Amino acid sequence: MRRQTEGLRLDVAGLLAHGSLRDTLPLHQTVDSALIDGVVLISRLDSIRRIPPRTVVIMSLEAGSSGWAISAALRHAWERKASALVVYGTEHSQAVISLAKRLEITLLATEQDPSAIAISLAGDLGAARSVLDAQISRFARALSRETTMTGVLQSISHELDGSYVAVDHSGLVLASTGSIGRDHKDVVVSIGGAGETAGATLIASVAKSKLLNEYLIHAILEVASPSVQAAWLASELAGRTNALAVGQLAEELSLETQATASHTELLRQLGWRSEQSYGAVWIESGTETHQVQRTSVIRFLWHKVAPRRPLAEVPGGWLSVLPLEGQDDLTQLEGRMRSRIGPVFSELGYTAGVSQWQPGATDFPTIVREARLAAKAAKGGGPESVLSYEHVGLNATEEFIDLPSIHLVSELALPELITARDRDQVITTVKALLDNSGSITAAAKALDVHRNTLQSRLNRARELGIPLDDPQSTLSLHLILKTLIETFNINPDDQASGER
Amino acid sequence: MTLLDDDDVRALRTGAHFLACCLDPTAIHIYAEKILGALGDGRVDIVPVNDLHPDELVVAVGVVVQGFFVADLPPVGDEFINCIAAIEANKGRKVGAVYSLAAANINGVIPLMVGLQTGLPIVDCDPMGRVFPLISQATLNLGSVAVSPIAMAGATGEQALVHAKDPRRAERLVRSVVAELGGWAATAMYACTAGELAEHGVHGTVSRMIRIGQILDANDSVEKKYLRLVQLLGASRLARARVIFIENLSRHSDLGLPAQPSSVTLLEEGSGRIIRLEIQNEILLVQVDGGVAAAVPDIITLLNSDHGTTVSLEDVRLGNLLDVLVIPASPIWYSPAGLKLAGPAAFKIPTKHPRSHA
Repeated sequence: MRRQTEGLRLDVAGLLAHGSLRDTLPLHQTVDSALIDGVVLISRLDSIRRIPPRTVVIMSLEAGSSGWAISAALRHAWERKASALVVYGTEHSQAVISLAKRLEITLLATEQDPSAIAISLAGDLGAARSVLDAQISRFARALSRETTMTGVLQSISHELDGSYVAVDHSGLVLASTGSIGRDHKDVVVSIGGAGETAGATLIASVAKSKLLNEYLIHAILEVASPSVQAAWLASELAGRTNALAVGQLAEELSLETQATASHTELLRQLGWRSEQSYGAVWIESGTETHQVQRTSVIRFLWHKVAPRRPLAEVPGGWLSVLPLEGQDDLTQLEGRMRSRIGPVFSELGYTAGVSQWQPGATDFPTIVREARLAAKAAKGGGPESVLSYEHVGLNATEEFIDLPSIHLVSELALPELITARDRDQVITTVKALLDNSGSITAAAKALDVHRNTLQSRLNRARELGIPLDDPQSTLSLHLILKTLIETFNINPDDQASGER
Repeated sequence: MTLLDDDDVRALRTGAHFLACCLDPTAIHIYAEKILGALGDGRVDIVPVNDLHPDELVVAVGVVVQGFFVADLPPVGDEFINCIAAIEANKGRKVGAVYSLAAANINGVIPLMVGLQTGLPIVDCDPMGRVFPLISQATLNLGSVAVSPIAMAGATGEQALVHAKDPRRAERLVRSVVAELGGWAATAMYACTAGELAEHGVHGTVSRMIRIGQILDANDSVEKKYLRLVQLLGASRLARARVIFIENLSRHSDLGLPAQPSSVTLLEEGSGRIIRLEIQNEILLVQVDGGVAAAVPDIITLLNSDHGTTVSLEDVRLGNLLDVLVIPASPIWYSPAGLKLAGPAAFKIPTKHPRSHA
């Protein structure tokens, strides 16, 4: 792009030498020749406040040429980063020339009708722009041959001299290519369209040293937008078609039943091979209500992990089933998920679970249940947003505890404990006892208190109605204590040896 | 009611000059000297407008200049007496007090002479709160108080009485007559009741001129004078800068304004800021690096940085180090109607006032 567009930029010095500004008299010319993207003929000074940068401002006869008006125009031109100010008449005071020098704005004077200069300059700009238009047209033809998102983005990046190009949706980078430099500027256009593509943007991060023509970069992105939209929708369509099989199967099995002979036949018809091992991935929308419109975004993210494996939208989340050769494949899959979508999921509060691998396609319900369980057990919003079933363990049970209900039970069954002044200490003491399988010695050691102290605190617990001596209540009591510790935000360390 | 002494008159003279920052203060000094000379035989009373009976007839007195200055064609002495007599004859009742047409420049001191000649008290109130070049640029006009009848008398002994409903038409008629009368005329206009003046006039403007003069004439440091002016007037110093360019006829003017436009450019040493003053009778606009920093109806005045004395525009020379001061005008002038009548656009400077929200 650099080689092709450098010669197309107009600048003040060039136009003064052999262009539409050659008949003007420079009252002050800046050392660096300013680039020119546009021209405006103004009759009211206020109009200068709305011009884009790199515009040549020409004051019409109507706008006047008195010193105060030129001073005000210079000020506005400076604020708007104008390329130059052209004023009528060649007799101007040193006062305005001094101000032009101070503000570093090129000030040109003309005895011609300023509107004639404006028309001539517009012609120069039009000619330069038509060359740009030819370049954009060539790019559009090249782009029309690309059908995939990757191909479209690579074409844009190539046109922009290898710049970083990305598709962004709600702050999530769905696809990208090219390298990003240190000192760059983002040029952003909306991809537009309705449904999934609404709100998505196409971003080019162009090194400032290459940012010679923002108009051209903007135009390239605008031209590419429909191609990005088309590639997105094509990918979405393919994703939906492929996902139908998984979705349909999940529905057939209702995820709760065992596979039957008819299901095995269905799997075979869908092209699943009995000699192949499979694993499942379940994506859970965390605390957020499941949103159907998120599907296309989730699919885009999923493509970073397994571009050719469909992701089905199923009740409560998204499901994909992948052929796996063994444990190594599974470990690699989990690793890819952690690195490629883990950070984004963390940000969104989403979680993903990976099942164990199972030989043959017949145990489909089991791998789906494993994946779903792992997804639920994964911690949303943190680095552990991706979890494999093999790491879940029995502790996952705690993730399914209905805290509000248990808290309600404790309020009804143990009202004295809830209102007791030494509530936190009693709870910590009993929890330590249960955590140490009823051993007073071990519990006292864990709390760093004397066993007599522990004994007296346990007696206090009994007074408050805690059924310490009823083995049938042990599990319930353990759950209640865990809930109360979380509800009241009790730190066991604070309650340990403080009141020996 | 306050009885003025010699010191008060001298202070008022200084204040009238400060608030006008006019081209040439000679006429102010001539009149002030005449007043000081006559003060031994008479008395001048300043009265707050609210001390008058609301139905009392009051009238504005002042000179209107078109071309020649008063100093070039000295007054005979009976001009204002004849004007007041003409107003009384027209209204069929006696004038109870006079007030200044503009509480700055020569018209800031004229009522004192009229008070000495007629024995009428001077109302501590005026219809501009500063000085404007046009008689229609008055708060009384904003309040729909009629400017007519306008009595005029020249040094030649000739008199005229103008009746015109439209203040702009009255302005044109008065300017034409004044030119014929020799370049200036004593006038009496805006004859109204004390109640109307209390409602639509700017209060305390005569005593304000005296207080300004007391500050500037005091044997204090320049910085102390500034401090006291800030406290009294809400003044602010826009710049302390050196004059680098002076231009005459610096912009087009076709409004029939009674002076030619000019401009002064100053350079603020240190910051390098360029300050441009647009002038026509008074300073109309201050641009700092091209941006509008102050504009009419703001009162803009120049002080000598070394002595804290008012600098007349005619005395501005290349290399002078000056302080540019801005004093807010009466709040009514910043209303949409006020800015339309006396904002920059009314002086053929089509820019928005910094305090305009339109």
